[in-house]
Amino acid sequence: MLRALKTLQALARELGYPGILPTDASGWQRPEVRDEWARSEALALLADGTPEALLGLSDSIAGNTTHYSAEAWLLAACDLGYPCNMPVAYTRGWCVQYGMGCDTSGRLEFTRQLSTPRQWRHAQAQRDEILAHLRNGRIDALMRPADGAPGGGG
Amino acid sequence: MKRWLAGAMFAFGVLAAAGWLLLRQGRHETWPASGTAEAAAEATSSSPARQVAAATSASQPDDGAIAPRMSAEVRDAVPAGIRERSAARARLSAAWACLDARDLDPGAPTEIWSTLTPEHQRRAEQDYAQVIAWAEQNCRDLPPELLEKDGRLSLPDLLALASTAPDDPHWQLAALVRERKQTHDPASVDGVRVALEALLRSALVAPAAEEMQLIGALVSTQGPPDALGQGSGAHWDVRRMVWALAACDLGADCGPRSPVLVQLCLQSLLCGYPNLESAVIDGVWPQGMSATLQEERRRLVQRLRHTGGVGVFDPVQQPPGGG
Repeated sequence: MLRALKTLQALARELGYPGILPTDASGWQRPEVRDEWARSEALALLADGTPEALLGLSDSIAGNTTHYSAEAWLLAACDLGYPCNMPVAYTRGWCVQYGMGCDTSGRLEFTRQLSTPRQWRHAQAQRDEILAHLRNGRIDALMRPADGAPGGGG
Repeated sequence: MKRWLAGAMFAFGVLAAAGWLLLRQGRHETWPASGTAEAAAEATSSSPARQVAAATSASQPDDGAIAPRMSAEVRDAVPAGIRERSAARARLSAAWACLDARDLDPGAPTEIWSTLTPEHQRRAEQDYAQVIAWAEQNCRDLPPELLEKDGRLSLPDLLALASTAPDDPHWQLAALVRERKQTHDPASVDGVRVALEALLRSALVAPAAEEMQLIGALVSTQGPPDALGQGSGAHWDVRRMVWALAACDLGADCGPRSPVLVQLCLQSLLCGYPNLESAVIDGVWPQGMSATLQEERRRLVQRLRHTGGVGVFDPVQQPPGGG
């Protein structure tokens, strides 16, 4: 299994993809390596630009390198056509384990239920900003770091 | 192969969702027990709790913007026990608010408030400025020993701060929590239950949201699931607010200048709200849990009113045949 992952990583690098998050011999992910990797993955996903790629930003640590929340990337993906109301299997697991999301099977509503009203409003405002930057091809603005200058939301 | 891949994808999906939720939840109160029983018993003037006690009790009554100042006449008329209890509560609120507020940004956080109404935004800016001024005055002398190595809050130290004497239930629970090797240790959970009952009896004499919040935090972190009553053992930040809001229902101050709201403004930038409940509903409780948590609060208040909380920390009986 480990050998297969290493082969996969080497192949991915050869083909110009960020590959799997690199670790040292003990399995430790050095923070600076992790951040650099996440940034390169974020850039690759933004270059892809499809709704699925934006969802990828919501789901992986790549999204953490940007200023925008996971919820905002999800909302942007939904807006661009990802089928966010399609049933998702893991919501049933959450219902059984935590009693949450039992009345929904779609990812959009499930995420809304996990968010506070303030988080959701904020995510909606950030979604609008993401979509505006995407329309204008402003990848640099989308890659604004998480701890960047305030004021993005107006 | 396909099944393996499907299994791996499912596992990844669940892990991603769980990880995302944990990240989204932000700060989690995972208070590790620290120190020893000897250390707990050692009520010396050099302990961090005593140092904070000295620092905060000296400055707390002078801050008219956050807590109303008590006139000398009124203060003299108040029995000593109540005065001590009030001072202990002030120490608790100050330390709890300050501990997570060490990397304060004095600039108003405009983005997080951008979705508020203009009127609410104005109030938030105003409240934040006052709270920052209060923190600059009150949080400066916080001893670094109060923080665990990983920068998290030490629950026993908070309990010690809230105590008025070594026979105070806060102090006794602090000692117990320090003694425990694991927060979910089933061998000592009965002792925690007894100490919590004593603490609740003391808190119900004159309910305060900051003290009830502490009980909620203990219930969430100091036992296996359901070992300390309905919903206990869940590490979610949300449950302590069920207890804080129950205190509001029992007559505690939960207005715009109340200690827990000051804490929320300082730590979570939930500022400018007219009361604790509106802040919790807008910024603490996930929308999908709000109704359930409100129901939990209603049931808790009912039990506290009718039985004084007797049995509220009893383990929840599992339905037969579950195993």
